[in-house]
Amino acid sequence: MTQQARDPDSWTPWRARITETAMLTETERFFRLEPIDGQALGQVPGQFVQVCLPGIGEAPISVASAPNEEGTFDLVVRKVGNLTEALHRTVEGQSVGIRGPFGRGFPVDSCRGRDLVIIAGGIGLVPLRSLIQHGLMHRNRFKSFSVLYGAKRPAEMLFKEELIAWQGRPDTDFHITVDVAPSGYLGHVGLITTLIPYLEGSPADTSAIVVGPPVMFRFVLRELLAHGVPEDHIWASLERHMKCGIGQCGHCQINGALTCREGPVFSAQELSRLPEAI
Amino acid sequence: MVMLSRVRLAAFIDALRRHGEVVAPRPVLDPQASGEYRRYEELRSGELPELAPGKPALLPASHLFLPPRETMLSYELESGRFTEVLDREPRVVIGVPPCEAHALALLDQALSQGVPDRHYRARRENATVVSLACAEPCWEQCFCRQMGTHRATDGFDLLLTPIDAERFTVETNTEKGDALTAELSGVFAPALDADRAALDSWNVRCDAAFGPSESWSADPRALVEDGADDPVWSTEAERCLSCGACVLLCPTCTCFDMVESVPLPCSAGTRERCRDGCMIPGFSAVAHGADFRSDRAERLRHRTRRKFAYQPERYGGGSYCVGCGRCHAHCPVDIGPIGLLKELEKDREEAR
Repeated sequence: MTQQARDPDSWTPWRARITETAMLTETERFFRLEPIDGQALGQVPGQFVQVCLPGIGEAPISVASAPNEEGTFDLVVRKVGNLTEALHRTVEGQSVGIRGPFGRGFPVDSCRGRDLVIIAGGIGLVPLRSLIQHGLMHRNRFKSFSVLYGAKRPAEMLFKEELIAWQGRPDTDFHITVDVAPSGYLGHVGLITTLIPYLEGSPADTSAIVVGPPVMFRFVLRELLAHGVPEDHIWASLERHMKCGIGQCGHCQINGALTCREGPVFSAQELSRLPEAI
Repeated sequence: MVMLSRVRLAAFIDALRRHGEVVAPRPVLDPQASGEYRRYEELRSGELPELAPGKPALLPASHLFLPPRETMLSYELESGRFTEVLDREPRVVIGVPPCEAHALALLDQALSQGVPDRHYRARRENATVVSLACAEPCWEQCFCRQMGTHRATDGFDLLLTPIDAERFTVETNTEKGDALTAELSGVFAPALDADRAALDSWNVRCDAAFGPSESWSADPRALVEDGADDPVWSTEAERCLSCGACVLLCPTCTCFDMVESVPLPCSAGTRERCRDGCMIPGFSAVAHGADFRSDRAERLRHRTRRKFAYQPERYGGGSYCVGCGRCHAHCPVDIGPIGLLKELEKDREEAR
């Protein structure tokens, strides 16, 4: 594949090679990518990239990993359209086009020294995995470290092996719940909001980061506020279809805010001024 | 300021041709369309621009710099090599009405902030814009007076004002305009004090012809910001067919979608952007089918607020509506900004 220098202000993608893939569920495929120019992506957890296959198209995809020493980054792609179906047909060794990283990621700096609560609903675990990895790499930057993960049913859980490893760590508080479970399932069954009152740490010193479907965010937000977490320390990442990633196409606009520039991560305080958001 | 006599127009156009293809609004008789309309096209050899009052061109001058469909990148499928495609073709656009010059000034401002739109800027930087002053409203649908855009103040290099039947004053607004004026000194005549006085009185007559500026008392930005929950959005949008004519004809709409084009034999292709707009259903849809502005009223409110509040707030400047009237004139169900603003104001007065 031809090498092209990166230019963050242009439409020209750079290339990354697929080094590893795995089916996480029936519809979600995991990709590990290695930039061909050897230069790391340089993402902040919570940012996204534009992934393209020439001739098929381009789509915004959340980065699922924190920066690492190998210089690789991970994506999880749900099969929903032309491009994502084509991405599901790619093979290891093949390369894809990348632009980015784009957007404002999770507020890792303003969470320092606080109790960190990460709340993931369904595929929301994908962008949050980048934050979980970051948090575990820099565990001493946070007081308590809690993760609540809710999936519809056990078969839809992502990163099962990593979930087990994370749950096994003594320095984290990790809870998984499912909405519906087959008989014989031994884990917790119930809505994710039911776990909030039992969170570790002090609510006033807590930073909560939530990614999930809009309906989940509404209920979780209400519960977090009732629990005493300050509005400016509750954050959510929103899904919009960014066609450009550079603030030009208009598709991701929420009221006056451009999700690709001011987001995709917004504080609950900011969201209260964006009535179209949730 | 200098003077251009109509008898020197051919010499003027010939001189402009040295700066690129000369484009002007030209009448088009399209049997498919309902009657005659005007379209920005390259002047034929020896052809002179009309430089006369008339209905605005169907598509505004800004579309010359932000075409409805344009190639951003070309690529080879086998090597995966991408090449950025920038159109640096020099152009001279003559006969741009003041409202459209204002639109260019707004786009120049918006599209150079954040990540600059290099595709727009490449065309724009290589272009010369010659505006033509409007003596009176050019058609019944325009409301440029209310938007403060009936007189050209920015977005052009040269401004022609037909102060009498034989002559134009030529004013310059940019360094490019200054250089052109100097270069074409043989075509122009010096302006006398009497000419400056004639221009002043022409402008006074122009303001009078456009009528009083106040057709509503409140600032449009305040009206749309305060009127988020006004019933007018639903009552007006009730008729909306979501056809998108308003966004496709607007001189300041810039939203787009991306498409791939891979012609046979499928060894190379292009990535193109196509005009899109927030009034079109599905514009805000995401992958799993959720659409965050699925309701017509939400879309109408969004577009209106974008013009009068969001864009001015983000990029500075006044309204991003220049009052050309295209959206209203071509709306099949008679929805337009003036009607919306008047309703918002009425509801606000009643609420007091």
